[in-house]
Amino acid sequence: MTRGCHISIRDLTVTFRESPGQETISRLDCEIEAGQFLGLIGPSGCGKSTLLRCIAGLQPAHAGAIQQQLPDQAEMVAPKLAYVFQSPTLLPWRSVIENIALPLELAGIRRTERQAAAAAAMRTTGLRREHDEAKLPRMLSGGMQMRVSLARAIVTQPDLMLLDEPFAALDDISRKQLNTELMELWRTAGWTGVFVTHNVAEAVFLCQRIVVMSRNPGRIAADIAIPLPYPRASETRLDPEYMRLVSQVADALEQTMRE
Amino acid sequence: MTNARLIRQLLPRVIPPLAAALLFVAAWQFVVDYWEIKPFLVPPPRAVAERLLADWRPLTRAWWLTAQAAICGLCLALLTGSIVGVLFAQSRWLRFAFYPYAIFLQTVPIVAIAPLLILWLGYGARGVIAVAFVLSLFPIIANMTAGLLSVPRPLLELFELNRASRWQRLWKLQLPFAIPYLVTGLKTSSGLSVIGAIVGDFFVGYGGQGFGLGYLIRTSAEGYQTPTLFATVLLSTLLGVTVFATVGLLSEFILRRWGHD
Ligand SMILES: Nc1ncnc2c1ncn2[C@@H]1O[C@H](COP(=O)(O)OP(=O)(O)O)[C@@H](O)[C@H]1O
Ligand SMILES: [Mg+2]
Repeated sequence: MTRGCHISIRDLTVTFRESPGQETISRLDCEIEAGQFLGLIGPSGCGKSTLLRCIAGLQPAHAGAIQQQLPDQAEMVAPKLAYVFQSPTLLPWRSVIENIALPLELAGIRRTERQAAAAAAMRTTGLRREHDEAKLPRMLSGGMQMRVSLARAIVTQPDLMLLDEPFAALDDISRKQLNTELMELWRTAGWTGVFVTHNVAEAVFLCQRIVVMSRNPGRIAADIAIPLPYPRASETRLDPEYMRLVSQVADALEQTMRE
Repeated sequence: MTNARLIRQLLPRVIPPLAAALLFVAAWQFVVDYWEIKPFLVPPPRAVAERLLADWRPLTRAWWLTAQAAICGLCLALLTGSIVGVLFAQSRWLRFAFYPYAIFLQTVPIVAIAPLLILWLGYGARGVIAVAFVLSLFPIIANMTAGLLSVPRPLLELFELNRASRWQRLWKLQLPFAIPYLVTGLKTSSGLSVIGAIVGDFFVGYGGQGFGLGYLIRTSAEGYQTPTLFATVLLSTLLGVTVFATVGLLSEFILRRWGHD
């Protein structure tokens, strides 16, 4: 059980060398509490991925700062971070379990230990060990590949989980199923989550809070709390409060498109 | 895979080319008979077959010597080319500085370089292997470098996020990713290595150690022994096909894991 890490983004500005003078993200401020599950939504090209990559340290900022802080940690201990990409990004020559164990292998963890951790991660993501562990990724469906990708993300027991449209390429049924499973993962593990999506219903169903970004330059246009109780299930989608929130977020999103 | 399935898969690959070969030989015999072509211009298939049978021993010896040189040259090229590819992929500056000269390997007039190599390395197997090596080196360098540098960005970022060292990135990501590329290069090079071994031998033979197919091609051409020349060409082709097919089978076996079946 991790406690999740607190993130504070101050005055973040990102410009790309390819388009100088144009700020992709402009003076963005955002506080994300430890253990919060935040949805990030916005028109395509508004800088959602860029923001996520900045938090992950994959993209340098032009100005501003991002701080990640674990609770009860006076000195600086770097929080463990996991990133789930839009594609499963599995290594095609490695078996499922070897793919899941990769982060531990890179960290120099012993083989028996990482096999055990990977097996546990398989269980929590609904993969059947005896059935799937030796398979190569291409033998799996898209939904199953994404499960493997999720298992690989949680195998290190991260404090912060960054997800960049992880289920965008899946069919509706797999997507809903994985949404529920992701929510369960978060509820049991307690990491801080930032979930990028362009699907309003998905964001409202999953998250505690939704940040809507606008385009050119990337800024926060709306910040909407989603006070629906957990656990959320398919009945939640019929809840009038849920529907009201969906239309509120959709309106905010549409507003950003009109500008 | 069961034997029956293996046979069922191989049959369509074997029967049609054999049928085509038979058809070709029949047409050849017919043309030679019909227009009464002189045997020193185009010998009839029967004469070539007789030559193959009569000179069976020296011909197979020559075939085997050339085969060895080609395989040695190819293996050396595989080793050297892979190492050079890794170096090129590690350093942009190294690549910029030396890649243009690697291209030179591909365009080098081998008939000019072969005598030089032999002059430097001496008559015998070493010189012949060197020619096969030079000729088959470039496709391996080029494909290996391309493979190592073609790793998709998300995979590189996955390694970066997990704080992988440069070494881990090379060993656990770039090299395995480059294997299919390397295999493609190896296929191209397998044909070139045979040509290289024949050209090398064409210029020198193996000194006192016997002679290969190239030497036979030269001497039989100079002596107008056209049936021997034809027999040698046939054997050269057979060698090319054998090496290529072996590498092809090997690559199919390797690439099964990479999902290229
Ligand atoms: N590496 C890059 N180089 C140059 N421009 C980029 C790069 N990455 C993203 N951009 C630009 O930044 C903007 C935001 O991109 P992105 O963060 O991917 O948007 P989103 O994920 O919200 O669709 C886009 O206009 C895109 O063209
Ligand atoms: Mg994006």
